Amino acid sequence: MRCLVVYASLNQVHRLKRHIYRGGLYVDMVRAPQCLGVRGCSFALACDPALLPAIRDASKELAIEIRGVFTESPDGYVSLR
Amino acid sequence: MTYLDNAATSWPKPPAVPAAMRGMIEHAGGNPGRSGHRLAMKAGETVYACRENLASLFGVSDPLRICFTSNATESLNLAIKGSLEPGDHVVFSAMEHNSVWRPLRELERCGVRISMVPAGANGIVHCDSIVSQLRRDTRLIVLIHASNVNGALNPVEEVGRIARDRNVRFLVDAAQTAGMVPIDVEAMKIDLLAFPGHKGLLGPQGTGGLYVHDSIRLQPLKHGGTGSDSDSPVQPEFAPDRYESGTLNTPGIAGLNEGVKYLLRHGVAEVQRRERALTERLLAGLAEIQHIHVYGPANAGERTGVISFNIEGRDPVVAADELDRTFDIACRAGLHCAWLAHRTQGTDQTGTVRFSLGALSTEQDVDAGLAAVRTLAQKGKR
Repeated sequence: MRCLVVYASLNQVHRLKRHIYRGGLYVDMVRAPQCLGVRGCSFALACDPALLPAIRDASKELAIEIRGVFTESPDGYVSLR
Repeated sequence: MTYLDNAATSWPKPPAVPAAMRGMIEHAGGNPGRSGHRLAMKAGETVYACRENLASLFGVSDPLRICFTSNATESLNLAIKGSLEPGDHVVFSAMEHNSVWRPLRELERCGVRISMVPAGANGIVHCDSIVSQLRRDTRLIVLIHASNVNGALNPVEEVGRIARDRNVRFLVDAAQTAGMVPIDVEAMKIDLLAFPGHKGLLGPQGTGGLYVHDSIRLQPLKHGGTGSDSDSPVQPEFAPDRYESGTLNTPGIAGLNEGVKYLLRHGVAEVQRRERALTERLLAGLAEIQHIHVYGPANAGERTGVISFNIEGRDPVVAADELDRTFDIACRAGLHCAWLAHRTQGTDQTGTVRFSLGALSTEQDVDAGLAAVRTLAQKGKR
């Protein structure tokens, strides 16, 4: 089960992905599903839940707003905050 | 062909530039920041890589502060029109290009107050002249880094300090220096840096950008789709999306990325060192030819490789045409879209012939140019 950390734009997701990669971690990028309802079109980092703290730290460090954190479940997506 | 028109656009480009553009169209032709499929995501990766490389080149810590435009003119329009409101005061120099002068004159009609600072006879603007024009309501200083007419280099770092001390926004037109002269926006205290992609940065035409300091929120020049905040009727607040409505020139940016990578590999300081040596060779050669008048600083350390001159008794446009047809030399003549600068150096009625060097110029190019000018000058008046 992976997590989706949603951001406003692909530009922000790229910046975070590269920053996290420099720290030795790999995360994927996806278009955020529309059903998440996070302010229209958005992109997300997709990762193992174990990487969530690193992503939250990176977002804080780069001052990029997280617009939602979700985990995939058999019934859909569950918000983690 | 001997190409001496790099101030208009650089040529040739490193081979990786057209190869990347072709590769982008053939293998990564999606729309970055819109769709989520692999072609689109791959395009987005290239666009972001170019942002990162440009940030590295200009000493920018956050690549998201690099906004893509179609050329330096668009960047300057965004920076100027996005900064100024009726009642604001702006200071600019008498060496500016029309891409600064015309937007400012347009804004003047809407209530923006403008003050033009004179330059010295060699085209260099002095800091004291700028300070003397600053007022309590001065919102912006606009300064060309190096003249596109005579190559005169301006004291950007000193003006940056003055602007920062007085809390005035500082916009630098780097059309002739990006990729040719080392630029560090933090060290030089530059708030807004406008640059073309197709000149010193060695990318294709139709590319350019604007660095926007993270404390600055400009009014966008364009409004529309950004691939973000799509449920909102207004532009996003965050950069670069706020300033990049509409699909980007992704193939162009892929080419630009290769041009910037070339510069990062070779080093802009090394490019400048080479260009300075060629400039000295060209200046020395022109000085030995009778009936030639060269404009701008005599010292290569105070200028770039943009050299304007006239051949006594010859119309510069006719001379440039003859250089092309008879000697296979590409250069530009006329007013170079910078009437103010020509007025400053006293050539607004005549224009000049302009030779301009680039990162890939050679001694052979310089010598071919000199030989042709020597022949034209010896042929006498026409």
